[in-house]
Amino acid sequence: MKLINQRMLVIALLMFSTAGLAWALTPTKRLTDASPAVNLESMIPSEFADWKIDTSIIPITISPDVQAKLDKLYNQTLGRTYVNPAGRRVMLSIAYGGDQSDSLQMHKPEVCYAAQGFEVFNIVAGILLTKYGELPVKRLIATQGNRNEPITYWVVIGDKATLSGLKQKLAQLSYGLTGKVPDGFLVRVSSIDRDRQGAYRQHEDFIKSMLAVMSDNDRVRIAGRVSATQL
Amino acid sequence: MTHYSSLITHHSSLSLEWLPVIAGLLVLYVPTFYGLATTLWQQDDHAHGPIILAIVLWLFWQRRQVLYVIPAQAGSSVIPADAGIQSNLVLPAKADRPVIPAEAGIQSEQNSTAPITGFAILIFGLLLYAVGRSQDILIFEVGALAPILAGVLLATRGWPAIGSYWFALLFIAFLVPLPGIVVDALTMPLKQTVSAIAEQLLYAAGYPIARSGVVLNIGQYQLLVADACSGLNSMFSLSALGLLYLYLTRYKSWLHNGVILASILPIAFSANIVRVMILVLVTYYYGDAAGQGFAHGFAGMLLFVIALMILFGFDALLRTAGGIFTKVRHA
Repeated sequence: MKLINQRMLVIALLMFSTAGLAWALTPTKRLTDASPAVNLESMIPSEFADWKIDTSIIPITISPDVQAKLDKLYNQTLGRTYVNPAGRRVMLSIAYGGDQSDSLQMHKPEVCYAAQGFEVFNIVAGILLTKYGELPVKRLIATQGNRNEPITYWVVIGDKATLSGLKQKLAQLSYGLTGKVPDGFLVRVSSIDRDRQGAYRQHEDFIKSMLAVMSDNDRVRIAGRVSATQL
Repeated sequence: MTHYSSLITHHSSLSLEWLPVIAGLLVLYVPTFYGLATTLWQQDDHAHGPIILAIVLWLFWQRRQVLYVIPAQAGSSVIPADAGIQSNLVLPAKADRPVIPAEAGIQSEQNSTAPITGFAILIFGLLLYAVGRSQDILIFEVGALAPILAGVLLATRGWPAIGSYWFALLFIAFLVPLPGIVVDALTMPLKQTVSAIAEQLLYAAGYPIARSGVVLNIGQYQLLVADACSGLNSMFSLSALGLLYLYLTRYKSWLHNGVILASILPIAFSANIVRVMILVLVTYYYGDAAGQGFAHGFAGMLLFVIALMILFGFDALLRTAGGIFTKVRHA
């Protein structure tokens, strides 16, 4: 009886090489190291068009365990409430992650809200037409008791604005297979409003006005090269 | 059985033969499963993961004699030993013989390996693994285990080994965590349907219940049918358990197996509706705290027991019906 079987050895060798290959293929070059540092606070204007930061509202403090989770997921988060002269308020929340590999994947609002006891429904993918191109957005409603919160959000992976889910994964993959770890943004605009369509129109107006006053560089970071939306 | 003792003496050297392959598998999959154990498997939704892994390992261990069989290069000398092993299998191998219709064709190459097909499948699996592992795609990374093992078996032990291990290889599918996209797509419609049916049934039973979307109002209480109530996870786990049950009971009747198989998902779905209704009623009679407290976890376990009981009961019914049918036909 032969103790050493050549075929077994070949198989083992193939397996060891695969482990090495997987290790070599694992993207390590972080895109974020190649681009200027992100400072959300200064990147997003505090006043634009009719909108300005509502200083009367103190942002809700987040419970420590949620904050710990956020810190793990995101490098930076920004939460602001804007108000217009008509007294309409819009909440803007941006999360930036320098490493958008799957282990740090962004929390989608439909998951995040639901986890905090909100009921999430009417999740619809849509297109927001800006003068820079089409921005793919997701719209959904989160409710809790009397609070009815329509949400518009999108995701940027590297410099590609994309819908969350499969397309986000594909965008990530297109970076990953070239050895790059893309950074990512999740931009969420929401308001507390019973009138869903009205709220969505307001979000659209808000987003367009915000993008219009931003520098080209900052806009690309936060809304992607919008022409590159079609993956 | 005279060959048995001589086989035992060979076992030690034969299992040593597998050492390089086992080492290779460990290098590939220890990091994967360690990663899963420290992240995904800690979530309630994926708590079945380690159990499935244990079952897969057991399925391979339980028929390890297959791995000891040396395929004959020329054919003649090993055949008696091979026959001896077949009858030594933990589960009667003869019983599942008729289940593999293709076996007649395989018989001719019973004792030869299939190196080309085997290595092709193995390399496909390894590439899938490399992409999955490096790009964090769990379906590829974990799912690759099936072609990798199938390729190894084919290349070293030939088609009969695949015949012995087909179920274990299939069962690996349950090890793959459901991708988030699939979960998201299925959860909402399931929740809607579960809430609607629970409402209809309770309304018909005379309870003061109303529903808007996935929010149920009963008496002065308002209940939200959460994601976990969709029953998706119980469907997944029960499918795995049901398949395992069918495999272990080894019915010869394809009709019987098919009917049971087709009934697993409806049973899991109905059991989940029963669970939601129990929770609604507990809340209605004993208040919010009761419904959200101990009863919530308990109802989850109860759901599983109910579903299994329905499945086994249905199986027994089919057997009885089948028995009567055969008797009538033979009378």
